[in-house]
Amino acid sequence: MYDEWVEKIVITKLHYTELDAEQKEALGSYCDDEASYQVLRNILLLSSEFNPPKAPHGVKNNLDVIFAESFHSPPPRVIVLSKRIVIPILAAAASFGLFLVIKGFLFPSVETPVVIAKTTPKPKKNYPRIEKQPSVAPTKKEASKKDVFVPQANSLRSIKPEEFKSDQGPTYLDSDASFITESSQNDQEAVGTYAWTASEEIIQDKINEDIKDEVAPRADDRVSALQTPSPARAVKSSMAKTKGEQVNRKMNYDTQEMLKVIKPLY
Amino acid sequence: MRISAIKYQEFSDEKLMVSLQQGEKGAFDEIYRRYADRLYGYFFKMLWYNEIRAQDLTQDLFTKVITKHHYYDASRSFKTWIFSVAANMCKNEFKRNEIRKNTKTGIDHLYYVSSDANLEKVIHEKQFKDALLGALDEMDEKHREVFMLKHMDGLSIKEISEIMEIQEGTVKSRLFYAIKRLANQLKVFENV
Repeated sequence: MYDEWVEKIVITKLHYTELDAEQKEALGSYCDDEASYQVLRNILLLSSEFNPPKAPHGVKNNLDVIFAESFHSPPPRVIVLSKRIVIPILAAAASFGLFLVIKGFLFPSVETPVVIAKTTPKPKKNYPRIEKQPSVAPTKKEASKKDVFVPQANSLRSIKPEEFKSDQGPTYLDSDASFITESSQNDQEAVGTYAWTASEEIIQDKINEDIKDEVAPRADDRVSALQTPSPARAVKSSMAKTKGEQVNRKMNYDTQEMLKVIKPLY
Repeated sequence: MRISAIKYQEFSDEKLMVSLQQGEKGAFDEIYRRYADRLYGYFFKMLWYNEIRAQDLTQDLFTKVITKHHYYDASRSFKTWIFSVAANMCKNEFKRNEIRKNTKTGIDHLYYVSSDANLEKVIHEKQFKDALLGALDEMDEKHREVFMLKHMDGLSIKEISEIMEIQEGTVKSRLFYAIKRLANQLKVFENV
Protein backbone atom coordinates (compact mmCIF):
# COMPACT_ATOMS: atom_id res chain seq x y z
CA MET A 1 0.00 0.00 0.00
CA TYR A 2 1.38 3.34 -1.05
CA ASP A 3 1.42 6.32 1.29
CA GLU A 4 2.59 9.89 1.03
CA TRP A 5 5.38 9.48 3.57
CA VAL A 6 7.21 7.43 0.87
CA GLU A 7 7.84 10.64 -1.04
CA LYS A 8 9.13 12.40 2.08
CA ILE A 9 11.67 9.61 2.68
CA VAL A 10 12.80 9.60 -0.94
CA ILE A 11 13.22 13.40 -0.98
CA THR A 12 15.09 13.65 2.31
CA LYS A 13 17.29 10.58 2.05
CA LEU A 14 19.73 10.50 -0.86
CA HIS A 15 21.03 6.95 -0.23
CA TYR A 16 19.59 3.73 1.04
CA THR A 17 22.22 3.55 3.76
CA GLU A 18 20.76 6.70 5.36
CA LEU A 19 17.47 4.97 6.08
CA ASP A 20 16.78 3.59 9.53
CA ALA A 21 15.36 0.15 10.15
CA GLU A 22 11.78 1.36 10.32
CA GLN A 23 12.09 3.23 7.02
CA LYS A 24 13.76 0.26 5.34
CA GLU A 25 10.91 -1.90 6.52
CA ALA A 26 8.36 0.57 5.19
CA LEU A 27 10.06 0.71 1.78
CA GLY A 28 10.67 -3.03 1.69
CA SER A 29 7.99 -3.64 -0.88
CA TYR A 30 9.63 -1.17 -3.31
CA CYS A 31 13.35 -1.58 -2.81
CA ASP A 32 15.83 -3.59 -0.81
CA ASP A 33 19.20 -2.13 -1.85
CA GLU A 34 20.87 1.07 -3.03
CA ALA A 35 20.29 0.45 -6.78
CA SER A 36 16.60 -0.23 -6.46
CA TYR A 37 16.28 2.70 -4.04
CA GLN A 38 17.81 5.03 -6.67
CA VAL A 39 15.38 3.75 -9.32
CA LEU A 40 12.49 4.46 -6.97
CA ARG A 41 13.87 7.94 -6.28
CA ASN A 42 14.12 8.69 -9.99
CA ILE A 43 10.60 7.45 -10.66
CA LEU A 44 9.05 9.66 -8.01
CA LEU A 45 11.22 12.74 -8.46
CA LEU A 46 11.76 12.84 -12.21
CA SER A 47 8.14 12.24 -12.95
CA SER A 48 7.34 15.63 -11.41
CA GLU A 49 9.90 17.34 -13.61
CA PHE A 50 8.05 16.81 -16.81
CA ASN A 51 7.67 20.02 -18.73
CA PRO A 52 4.50 19.74 -20.76
CA PRO A 53 3.98 22.34 -23.48
CA LYS A 54 2.00 25.42 -22.51
CA ALA A 55 -1.50 25.98 -23.70
CA PRO A 56 -1.52 27.90 -26.99
CA HIS A 57 -2.66 31.54 -27.00
CA GLY A 58 -5.34 30.77 -29.56
CA VAL A 59 -7.25 28.88 -26.89
CA LYS A 60 -7.39 31.95 -24.66
CA ASN A 61 -8.56 34.21 -27.48
CA ASN A 62 -11.37 31.83 -28.37
CA LEU A 63 -12.40 31.59 -24.73
CA ASP A 64 -12.49 35.39 -24.43
CA VAL A 65 -15.00 35.53 -27.27
CA ILE A 66 -17.08 32.79 -25.65
CA PHE A 67 -17.01 34.62 -22.33
CA ALA A 68 -18.12 37.88 -23.96
CA GLU A 69 -21.01 36.13 -25.68
CA SER A 70 -22.08 34.42 -22.48
CA PHE A 71 -21.94 37.28 -19.98
CA HIS A 72 -22.07 40.51 -21.92
CA SER A 73 -24.12 42.16 -24.63
CA PRO A 74 -23.80 40.76 -28.14
CA PRO A 75 -21.20 42.28 -30.45
CA PRO A 76 -22.16 45.21 -32.72
CA ARG A 77 -22.53 42.91 -35.71
CA VAL A 78 -25.62 41.39 -34.11
CA ILE A 79 -27.05 44.86 -33.49
CA VAL A 80 -26.69 45.71 -37.17
CA LEU A 81 -28.59 42.56 -38.06
CA SER A 82 -31.35 43.41 -35.61
CA LYS A 83 -31.68 46.90 -37.10
CA ARG A 84 -32.31 45.32 -40.45
CA ILE A 85 -35.28 43.61 -38.95
CA VAL A 86 -36.53 46.50 -36.86
CA ILE A 87 -36.44 49.21 -39.54
CA PRO A 88 -38.93 47.51 -41.91
CA ILE A 89 -41.26 46.86 -39.00
CA LEU A 90 -41.12 50.51 -37.97
CA ALA A 91 -41.69 51.60 -41.58
CA ALA A 92 -44.72 49.36 -41.89
CA ALA A 93 -46.13 50.64 -38.61
CA ALA A 94 -45.61 54.27 -39.68
CA SER A 95 -47.30 53.72 -43.04
CA PHE A 96 -50.24 52.06 -41.34
CA GLY A 97 -50.60 54.98 -38.97
CA LEU A 98 -50.44 57.40 -41.91
CA PHE A 99 -53.13 55.39 -43.65
CA LEU A 100 -55.39 55.66 -40.64
CA VAL A 101 -54.90 59.43 -40.48
CA ILE A 102 -55.67 59.86 -44.18
CA LYS A 103 -58.70 57.64 -43.87
CA GLY A 104 -59.92 59.75 -40.99
CA PHE A 105 -59.69 62.90 -43.13
CA LEU A 106 -61.25 61.41 -46.24
CA PHE A 107 -64.13 59.63 -44.54
CA PRO A 108 -65.02 61.69 -41.53
CA SER A 109 -68.76 60.86 -41.66
CA VAL A 110 -68.12 57.33 -40.54
CA GLU A 111 -66.84 58.23 -37.17
CA THR A 112 -68.20 61.76 -36.53
CA PRO A 113 -71.75 60.73 -35.49
CA VAL A 114 -70.27 58.59 -32.81
CA VAL A 115 -68.23 61.50 -31.55
CA ILE A 116 -71.20 63.82 -31.57
CA ALA A 117 -73.34 61.32 -29.80
CA LYS A 118 -70.73 61.01 -27.15
CA THR A 119 -70.30 64.76 -26.71
CA THR A 120 -74.00 65.78 -26.63
CA PRO A 121 -75.19 66.54 -23.11
CA LYS A 122 -77.88 64.52 -21.51
CA PRO A 123 -81.39 65.88 -22.02
CA LYS A 124 -82.86 67.57 -18.99
CA LYS A 125 -85.98 66.21 -17.41
CA ASN A 126 -89.12 67.99 -18.52
CA TYR A 127 -90.67 69.01 -15.30
CA PRO A 128 -94.26 70.34 -15.56
CA ARG A 129 -94.25 74.06 -15.86
CA ILE A 130 -96.13 75.97 -13.21
CA GLU A 131 -98.37 78.39 -14.86
CA LYS A 132 -98.40 81.82 -13.41
CA GLN A 133 -101.73 82.83 -12.15
CA PRO A 134 -103.03 86.13 -13.36
CA SER A 135 -102.37 88.96 -10.99
CA VAL A 136 -105.55 90.65 -12.08
CA ALA A 137 -108.90 89.01 -11.43
CA PRO A 138 -110.71 87.92 -14.56
CA THR A 139 -113.74 89.88 -15.56
CA LYS A 140 -117.20 88.47 -15.41
CA LYS A 141 -117.24 88.09 -19.14
CA GLU A 142 -114.06 86.00 -19.11
CA ALA A 143 -115.24 83.97 -16.18
CA SER A 144 -118.54 83.21 -17.75
CA LYS A 145 -116.75 81.68 -20.76
CA LYS A 146 -115.49 78.86 -18.60
CA ASP A 147 -117.74 75.88 -18.10
CA VAL A 148 -116.89 75.47 -14.45
CA PHE A 149 -118.88 78.55 -13.55
CA VAL A 150 -122.01 77.48 -15.18
CA PRO A 151 -123.52 75.15 -12.52
CA GLN A 152 -122.61 77.46 -9.65
CA ALA A 153 -123.54 80.70 -11.30
CA ASN A 154 -126.70 81.10 -9.26
CA SER A 155 -125.06 80.25 -6.02
CA LEU A 156 -122.28 82.71 -6.63
CA ARG A 157 -124.67 85.43 -7.46
CA SER A 158 -126.48 84.86 -4.24
CA ILE A 159 -123.28 85.20 -2.23
CA LYS A 160 -121.83 88.58 -1.68
CA PRO A 161 -118.02 88.37 -1.37
CA GLU A 162 -117.99 91.32 0.98
CA GLU A 163 -119.84 89.27 3.60
CA PHE A 164 -116.93 86.88 4.02
CA LYS A 165 -114.23 89.51 4.05
CA SER A 166 -113.08 90.36 7.48
CA ASP A 167 -111.88 93.78 8.37
CA GLN A 168 -108.31 92.65 8.61
CA GLY A 169 -108.41 90.77 5.39
CA PRO A 170 -107.48 87.16 4.75
CA THR A 171 -104.77 85.55 6.83
CA TYR A 172 -101.89 83.94 5.07
CA LEU A 173 -100.41 82.32 8.13
CA ASP A 174 -99.50 78.67 8.13
CA SER A 175 -101.63 78.12 11.24
CA ASP A 176 -104.70 79.25 9.38
CA ALA A 177 -103.98 77.15 6.33
CA SER A 178 -106.12 74.04 5.98
CA PHE A 179 -104.41 71.02 4.67
CA ILE A 180 -106.45 69.41 1.93
CA THR A 181 -106.25 65.66 2.10
CA GLU A 182 -107.45 62.97 -0.19
CA SER A 183 -110.35 62.12 2.07
CA SER A 184 -111.73 65.60 2.00
CA GLN A 185 -111.24 66.15 -1.72
CA ASN A 186 -111.69 62.89 -3.61
CA ASP A 187 -111.30 64.19 -7.09
CA GLN A 188 -108.70 66.75 -6.41
CA GLU A 189 -105.45 66.03 -8.22
CA ALA A 190 -103.20 68.22 -6.16
CA VAL A 191 -103.12 66.42 -2.89
CA GLY A 192 -101.50 68.07 0.08
CA THR A 193 -101.82 71.67 -1.05
CA TYR A 194 -102.84 74.44 1.22
CA ALA A 195 -105.96 76.50 0.84
CA TRP A 196 -104.73 79.80 1.99
CA THR A 197 -107.94 81.58 2.53
CA ALA A 198 -110.51 80.96 5.22
CA SER A 199 -113.10 82.62 3.09
CA GLU A 200 -112.62 79.96 0.47
CA GLU A 201 -113.68 77.36 2.98
CA ILE A 202 -116.76 79.29 3.83
CA ILE A 203 -117.67 79.66 0.18
CA GLN A 204 -117.11 75.98 -0.41
CA ASP A 205 -119.31 75.03 2.55
CA LYS A 206 -122.00 77.26 1.26
CA ILE A 207 -121.90 75.73 -2.15
CA ASN A 208 -121.98 72.22 -0.73
CA GLU A 209 -125.08 73.01 1.26
CA ASP A 210 -126.78 74.34 -1.84
CA ILE A 211 -125.92 71.20 -3.74
CA LYS A 212 -127.24 69.01 -0.95
CA ASP A 213 -130.47 70.87 -0.98
CA GLU A 214 -130.87 70.57 -4.67
CA VAL A 215 -129.65 67.01 -5.41
CA ALA A 216 -129.35 64.80 -2.33
CA PRO A 217 -132.41 62.89 -1.10
CA ARG A 218 -133.98 63.96 2.12
CA ALA A 219 -133.39 62.14 5.39
CA ASP A 220 -137.11 61.29 5.94
CA ASP A 221 -137.15 59.67 2.53
CA ARG A 222 -134.18 57.54 3.50
CA VAL A 223 -135.84 56.52 6.78
CA SER A 224 -139.08 55.54 5.04
CA ALA A 225 -137.13 53.61 2.51
CA LEU A 226 -135.45 51.67 5.26
CA GLN A 227 -138.73 50.98 6.97
CA THR A 228 -140.40 49.63 3.81
CA PRO A 229 -137.88 47.33 2.20
CA SER A 230 -139.69 46.61 -1.07
CA PRO A 231 -137.32 45.55 -3.91
CA ALA A 232 -138.48 48.26 -6.30
CA ARG A 233 -138.02 50.91 -3.68
CA ALA A 234 -134.65 49.58 -2.73
CA VAL A 235 -133.50 49.67 -6.35
CA LYS A 236 -134.84 53.15 -6.74
CA SER A 237 -133.14 54.32 -3.59
CA SER A 238 -129.81 52.78 -4.57
CA MET A 239 -130.03 54.36 -8.01
CA ALA A 240 -130.77 57.65 -6.45
CA LYS A 241 -127.85 57.17 -4.11
CA THR A 242 -125.38 56.46 -6.90
CA LYS A 243 -126.76 59.33 -8.92
CA GLY A 244 -126.36 61.60 -5.94
CA GLU A 245 -122.75 60.53 -5.47
CA GLN A 246 -121.97 61.20 -9.09
CA VAL A 247 -123.48 64.61 -8.86
CA ASN A 248 -121.58 65.26 -5.68
CA ARG A 249 -118.31 64.38 -7.35
CA LYS A 250 -119.04 66.62 -10.28
CA MET A 251 -120.01 69.42 -7.97
CA ASN A 252 -116.84 69.01 -5.97
CA TYR A 253 -114.76 69.16 -9.11
CA ASP A 254 -116.57 72.24 -10.27
CA THR A 255 -116.08 73.82 -6.93
CA GLN A 256 -112.36 73.25 -7.13
CA GLU A 257 -112.16 74.86 -10.53
CA MET A 258 -114.17 77.74 -9.33
CA LEU A 259 -111.94 78.27 -6.34
CA LYS A 260 -108.93 78.45 -8.58
CA VAL A 261 -110.48 81.32 -10.39
CA ILE A 262 -111.85 83.08 -7.32
CA LYS A 263 -108.65 82.80 -5.32
CA PRO A 264 -106.80 85.68 -7.02
CA LEU A 265 -109.62 88.01 -6.12
CA TYR A 266 -108.45 87.95 -2.53
CA MET B 1 -6.50 46.63 -15.03
CA ARG B 2 -3.39 45.95 -13.01
CA ILE B 3 -5.25 46.62 -9.78
CA SER B 4 -7.97 44.13 -10.65
CA ALA B 5 -5.35 41.50 -11.60
CA ILE B 6 -3.65 41.88 -8.24
CA LYS B 7 -6.98 41.64 -6.54
CA TYR B 8 -7.90 38.39 -8.28
CA GLN B 9 -4.49 36.87 -7.61
CA GLU B 10 -5.26 37.03 -3.92
CA PHE B 11 -8.52 35.17 -4.37
CA SER B 12 -8.91 31.48 -3.72
CA ASP B 13 -10.04 29.25 -6.57
CA GLU B 14 -13.50 28.98 -5.10
CA LYS B 15 -13.86 32.74 -4.65
CA LEU B 16 -12.70 33.27 -8.20
CA MET B 17 -15.35 30.89 -9.40
CA VAL B 18 -18.03 32.80 -7.50
CA SER B 19 -16.81 36.00 -9.13
CA LEU B 20 -16.86 34.30 -12.51
CA GLN B 21 -20.45 33.24 -11.94
CA GLN B 22 -21.23 36.96 -11.58
CA GLY B 23 -19.66 37.63 -14.95
CA GLU B 24 -16.34 39.07 -13.85
CA LYS B 25 -13.85 38.63 -16.65
CA GLY B 26 -10.82 39.16 -14.39
CA ALA B 27 -11.80 36.12 -12.34
CA PHE B 28 -11.89 33.95 -15.43
CA ASP B 29 -8.50 35.26 -16.57
CA GLU B 30 -6.98 34.35 -13.21
CA ILE B 31 -8.48 30.85 -13.27
CA TYR B 32 -7.14 30.34 -16.75
CA ARG B 33 -3.72 31.56 -15.70
CA ARG B 34 -3.63 29.09 -12.81
CA TYR B 35 -4.92 25.98 -14.53
CA ALA B 36 -4.57 26.25 -18.29
CA ASP B 37 -1.05 24.86 -18.56
CA ARG B 38 -1.61 22.15 -15.98
CA LEU B 39 -4.76 20.94 -17.65
CA TYR B 40 -3.28 21.18 -21.09
CA GLY B 41 -0.33 19.11 -19.88
CA TYR B 42 -2.72 16.62 -18.27
CA PHE B 43 -4.61 16.17 -21.53
CA PHE B 44 -1.36 16.05 -23.46
CA LYS B 45 0.01 13.22 -21.31
CA MET B 46 -3.27 11.35 -20.95
CA LEU B 47 -4.04 11.47 -24.65
CA TRP B 48 -0.65 10.13 -25.70
CA TYR B 49 0.91 13.47 -26.52
CA ASN B 50 -1.61 14.53 -29.13
CA GLU B 51 -1.22 18.31 -29.10
CA ILE B 52 -4.23 19.10 -31.29
CA ARG B 53 -6.57 16.95 -29.25
CA ALA B 54 -5.17 18.30 -26.00
CA GLN B 55 -5.75 21.83 -27.28
CA ASP B 56 -9.35 21.04 -28.24
CA LEU B 57 -10.11 19.43 -24.90
CA THR B 58 -8.53 22.31 -22.99
CA GLN B 59 -10.74 24.78 -24.84
CA ASP B 60 -13.79 22.59 -24.30
CA LEU B 61 -13.03 22.32 -20.62
CA PHE B 62 -12.77 26.09 -20.08
CA THR B 63 -15.85 26.61 -22.23
CA LYS B 64 -17.70 24.43 -19.74
CA VAL B 65 -16.30 26.54 -16.93
CA ILE B 66 -17.82 29.63 -18.62
CA THR B 67 -21.13 28.31 -19.87
CA LYS B 68 -21.89 25.71 -17.19
CA HIS B 69 -20.51 27.56 -14.21
CA HIS B 70 -23.80 27.01 -12.36
CA TYR B 71 -22.94 23.29 -12.10
CA TYR B 72 -20.06 24.15 -9.82
CA ASP B 73 -20.77 23.81 -6.12
CA ALA B 74 -18.87 26.50 -4.23
CA SER B 75 -18.57 24.24 -1.20
CA ARG B 76 -16.42 21.86 -3.20
CA SER B 77 -12.76 22.28 -4.13
CA PHE B 78 -12.43 23.91 -7.53
CA LYS B 79 -9.23 22.01 -8.31
CA THR B 80 -10.93 18.72 -7.62
CA TRP B 81 -13.96 19.75 -9.67
CA ILE B 82 -12.04 20.90 -12.73
CA PHE B 83 -9.73 17.87 -12.71
CA SER B 84 -12.70 15.54 -12.37
CA VAL B 85 -14.27 17.20 -15.41
CA ALA B 86 -10.97 16.76 -17.26
CA ALA B 87 -10.75 13.11 -16.17
CA ASN B 88 -14.29 12.45 -17.43
CA MET B 89 -13.43 14.09 -20.75
CA CYS B 90 -10.42 11.80 -21.05
CA LYS B 91 -12.57 8.77 -20.30
CA ASN B 92 -14.97 9.80 -23.06
CA GLU B 93 -12.02 10.06 -25.40
CA PHE B 94 -10.89 6.60 -24.43
CA LYS B 95 -14.37 5.26 -25.10
CA ARG B 96 -14.45 6.81 -28.54
CA ASN B 97 -11.11 5.14 -29.17
CA GLU B 98 -10.14 8.04 -31.38
CA ILE B 99 -6.83 8.55 -29.71
CA ARG B 100 -3.97 6.44 -30.83
CA LYS B 101 -0.81 6.04 -28.87
CA ASN B 102 1.94 8.21 -30.21
CA THR B 103 4.79 7.70 -27.82
CA LYS B 104 7.43 8.60 -30.35
CA THR B 105 6.21 12.14 -30.93
CA GLY B 106 6.02 14.68 -28.19
CA ILE B 107 8.14 13.00 -25.60
CA ASP B 108 11.00 15.33 -26.33
CA HIS B 109 8.88 18.28 -25.18
CA LEU B 110 8.59 16.82 -21.69
CA TYR B 111 12.04 17.42 -20.35
CA TYR B 112 13.63 20.27 -18.59
CA VAL B 113 16.78 21.40 -20.39
CA SER B 114 19.40 22.59 -17.98
CA SER B 115 22.39 24.16 -19.67
CA ASP B 116 24.67 24.20 -16.66
CA ALA B 117 23.91 20.64 -15.60
CA ASN B 118 26.31 17.80 -15.97
CA LEU B 119 25.99 16.45 -19.49
CA GLU B 120 26.30 12.83 -18.37
CA LYS B 121 23.66 13.35 -15.78
CA VAL B 122 21.38 15.03 -18.28
CA ILE B 123 21.73 12.16 -20.72
CA HIS B 124 21.13 9.67 -17.98
CA GLU B 125 17.97 11.46 -16.82
CA LYS B 126 16.73 11.79 -20.40
CA GLN B 127 17.11 8.07 -20.97
CA PHE B 128 15.41 7.32 -17.71
CA LYS B 129 12.47 9.64 -18.46
CA ASP B 130 12.02 8.12 -21.88
CA ALA B 131 11.85 4.71 -20.30
CA LEU B 132 9.50 5.98 -17.59
CA LEU B 133 7.08 7.49 -20.10
CA GLY B 134 7.25 4.37 -22.19
CA ALA B 135 6.40 2.27 -19.17
CA LEU B 136 3.51 4.55 -18.28
CA ASP B 137 2.10 4.31 -21.79
CA GLU B 138 2.07 0.57 -21.53
CA MET B 139 0.28 0.72 -18.21
CA ASP B 140 -3.50 0.41 -18.06
CA GLU B 141 -5.48 3.68 -17.87
CA LYS B 142 -6.70 3.60 -14.27
CA HIS B 143 -3.18 3.03 -12.85
CA ARG B 144 -1.57 5.45 -15.23
CA GLU B 145 -4.09 8.19 -14.44
CA VAL B 146 -3.62 7.83 -10.70
CA PHE B 147 0.15 7.93 -11.04
CA MET B 148 0.05 11.03 -13.29
CA LEU B 149 -2.33 12.88 -11.02
CA LYS B 150 -0.20 12.09 -7.99
CA HIS B 151 3.34 12.53 -9.25
CA MET B 152 3.01 14.71 -12.34
CA ASP B 153 0.15 17.03 -11.39
CA GLY B 154 0.89 17.04 -7.67
CA LEU B 155 -2.57 16.23 -6.37
CA SER B 156 -3.11 14.61 -2.99
CA ILE B 157 -4.57 11.17 -2.49
CA LYS B 158 -7.78 12.70 -1.16
CA GLU B 159 -8.14 14.92 -4.19
CA ILE B 160 -7.51 12.02 -6.54
CA SER B 161 -10.16 9.97 -4.75
CA GLU B 162 -12.66 12.82 -5.20
CA ILE B 163 -11.74 13.35 -8.84
CA MET B 164 -11.93 9.68 -9.77
CA GLU B 165 -14.79 9.06 -7.31
CA ILE B 166 -13.05 6.12 -5.68
CA GLN B 167 -11.95 5.34 -2.14
CA GLU B 168 -8.63 6.67 -0.86
CA GLY B 169 -7.53 3.10 -0.17
CA THR B 170 -8.16 2.28 -3.80
CA VAL B 171 -6.00 5.22 -4.83
CA LYS B 172 -3.21 4.05 -2.56
CA SER B 173 -3.36 0.49 -3.85
CA ARG B 174 -3.34 1.69 -7.43
CA LEU B 175 -0.37 3.91 -6.72
CA PHE B 176 1.49 1.04 -5.07
CA TYR B 177 0.80 -1.20 -8.04
CA ALA B 178 1.87 1.50 -10.53
CA ILE B 179 5.15 2.27 -8.73
CA LYS B 180 5.94 -1.42 -8.25
CA ARG B 181 5.38 -2.07 -11.92
CA LEU B 182 7.48 0.92 -13.00
CA ALA B 183 10.29 -0.14 -10.70
CA ASN B 184 10.27 -3.60 -12.19
CA GLN B 185 10.28 -2.26 -15.76
CA LEU B 186 13.06 0.25 -15.03
CA LYS B 187 15.26 -2.24 -13.22
CA VAL B 188 17.70 -2.01 -16.13
CA PHE B 189 18.74 1.43 -14.83
CA GLU B 190 19.89 0.01 -11.50
CA ASN B 191 23.35 -0.59 -12.80
CA VAL B 192 23.62 2.77 -14.63
